[in-house]
Amino acid sequence: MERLTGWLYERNSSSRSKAILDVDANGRTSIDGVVLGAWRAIQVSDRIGNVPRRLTLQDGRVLETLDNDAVDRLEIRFQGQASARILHRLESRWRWAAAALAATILLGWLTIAYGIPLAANRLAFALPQTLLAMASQQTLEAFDQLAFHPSKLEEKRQSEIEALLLRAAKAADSDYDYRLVLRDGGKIGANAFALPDGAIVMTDQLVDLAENDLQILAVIAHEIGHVERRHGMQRMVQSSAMAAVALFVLGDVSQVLAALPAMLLESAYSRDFEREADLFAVALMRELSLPPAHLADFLERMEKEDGQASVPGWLSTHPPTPERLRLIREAEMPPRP
Amino acid sequence: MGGFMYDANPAISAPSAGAAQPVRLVFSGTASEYFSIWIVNLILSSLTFGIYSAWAKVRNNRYFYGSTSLDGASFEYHAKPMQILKGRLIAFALIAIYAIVGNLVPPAGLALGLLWLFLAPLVINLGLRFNARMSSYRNVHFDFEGSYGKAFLVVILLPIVTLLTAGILAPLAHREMSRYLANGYRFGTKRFSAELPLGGFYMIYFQALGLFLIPAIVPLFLWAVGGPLDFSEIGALIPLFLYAAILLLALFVRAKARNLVFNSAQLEGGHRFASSLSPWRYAWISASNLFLMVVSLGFLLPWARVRMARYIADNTMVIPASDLSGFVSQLAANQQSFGSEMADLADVEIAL
Repeated sequence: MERLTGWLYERNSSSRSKAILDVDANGRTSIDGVVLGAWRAIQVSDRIGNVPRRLTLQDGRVLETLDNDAVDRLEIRFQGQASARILHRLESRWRWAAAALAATILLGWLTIAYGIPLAANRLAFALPQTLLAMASQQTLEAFDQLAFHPSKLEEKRQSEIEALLLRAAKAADSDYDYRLVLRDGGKIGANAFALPDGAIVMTDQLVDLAENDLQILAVIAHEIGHVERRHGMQRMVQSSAMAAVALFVLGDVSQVLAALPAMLLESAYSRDFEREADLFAVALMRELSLPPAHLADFLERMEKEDGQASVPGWLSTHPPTPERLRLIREAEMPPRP
Repeated sequence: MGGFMYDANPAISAPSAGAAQPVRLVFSGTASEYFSIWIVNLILSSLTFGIYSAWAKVRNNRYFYGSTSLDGASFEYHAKPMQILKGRLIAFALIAIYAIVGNLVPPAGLALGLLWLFLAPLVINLGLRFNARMSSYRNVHFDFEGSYGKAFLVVILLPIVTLLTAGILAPLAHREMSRYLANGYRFGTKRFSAELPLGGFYMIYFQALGLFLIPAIVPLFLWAVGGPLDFSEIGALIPLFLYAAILLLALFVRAKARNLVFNSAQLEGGHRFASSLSPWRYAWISASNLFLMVVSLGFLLPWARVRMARYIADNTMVIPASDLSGFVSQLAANQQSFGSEMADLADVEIAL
């Protein structure tokens, strides 16, 4: 009824011979005319693509055959197990494959665009304060070792800036214990960043670059935005989640390759955070009845100082300055009545 | 066939030249066939939060092994998904413990890290053995026999020494690693072996340095000392540029080293191997695959993998000393030890 041809191997041995396996209408098998027994007693490997099937016979011999369709017909007729073939059926139908492709793209996009940021957001707010403090301390220590020197600003100037911070923190009405960390930025130059525990790190160079104290206040407001929205921790969670996802999809090709999309997406997430912090600063400045334009002015000044950005936009951790200026100035307009 | 007749110098048991007719590996998988297997794997793995990935790995490997044949017989992969899943759960638990402990009690994390350094060789040996035992050709399983000491030397000690000596010993470390692997594998009851010349490895690394790193570094150096070249326009892209140079270098080295190992390896009984990868072609295929995967967001991956598998198979040959029918599975020769060891419990994967 069915006839399979292939290589017949002796039990546990590599010696082989060409053989023909016949199966009659009752499922009785015979090899090269010698009766063997029922088809049901043969162990058949699952089908995958068109790779050879391995039939382990009752006596331990193995038949390797390429007659996949005949094996399938025999399995359906004498074993009746549909479950084992589900995967092959999924894999061999183009409509299924196309549907799976579409579902994968959709799922991937949902995960990246909404799933990871949402999960990171939830997780970041659930992390204990001690962890925030620890991460912050380690970051600051690293910067102190690598680039920073003690601030060279006069004490009077330092306390003036501290007063600015207190003013902004009070307006933010927050549980965080905000404090100022002034440092000589060394090769980092004019910069400011926030640590997750509420430490606002600012370099002497930034203080010198600002035209007036309100610009410094605007920068502080922006950094407070990062802390309040827990961007630092979200970023940590997101980058590990992204790395895990990328590794999952591309890991068996190249781990180096897997790091690449993770890096790109991280910059994209980071740009979102910057926009959010800008909007937070605008709101906080309004709260203080100060013109939010100071933030825009300072960003412009910063860009003039740094010169043209040397990194392409899609690699950058900050949105392009013109875009940020537009966003800030638009947000500045009082909402229509 | 008694083992002792092969214990003498393998060269003696090899028949005179002329009997050996090289047999090429054939890869018969296709991108379209593999694409649907891959996409089903991917979607089911996502829907089950990664649990299906154990099944996916088995189907994946079965497809690639089964599509690779030599002399009319294909390779087979025998691992069961539950074994893979167990291994992954163990690995996941270990990583989770390490991450949590390391975050909460940094000194304890450090101690765990050190402990891992000493456990890694053991785990790597188990993984190598599992994968070898789950692979067969012509009804005979492979095997891997390694020792803790040698594994510690090649996976921990030599890489550290290489780092400390600024890479001068990298060829030595590479050679010892290859030697450890090539002499550890078994086919049935027969051993693979390879005497790898250290000079050959140094030669490969010198060539690679000359070809990639120097052209990449010299212009940067000239710029740094204020020479006529000016890269300040593209300053931020310099790390990418260096990254590309190092990637090419690694691919070049990998192809050359594979040729060297295969061409010096043999299987007890006088069977020899040959690998004829062109480092240029290999680097081109890898680099263009990488590029296409990135621009296609990973969806050209099946095509890329099939393309690479075909190139590798096309350039790999076995030169049998005689008919390949004399092999006996270790399973039959030593039934007891096969089933009873931990290596068969779970597949432990490690990424170095």
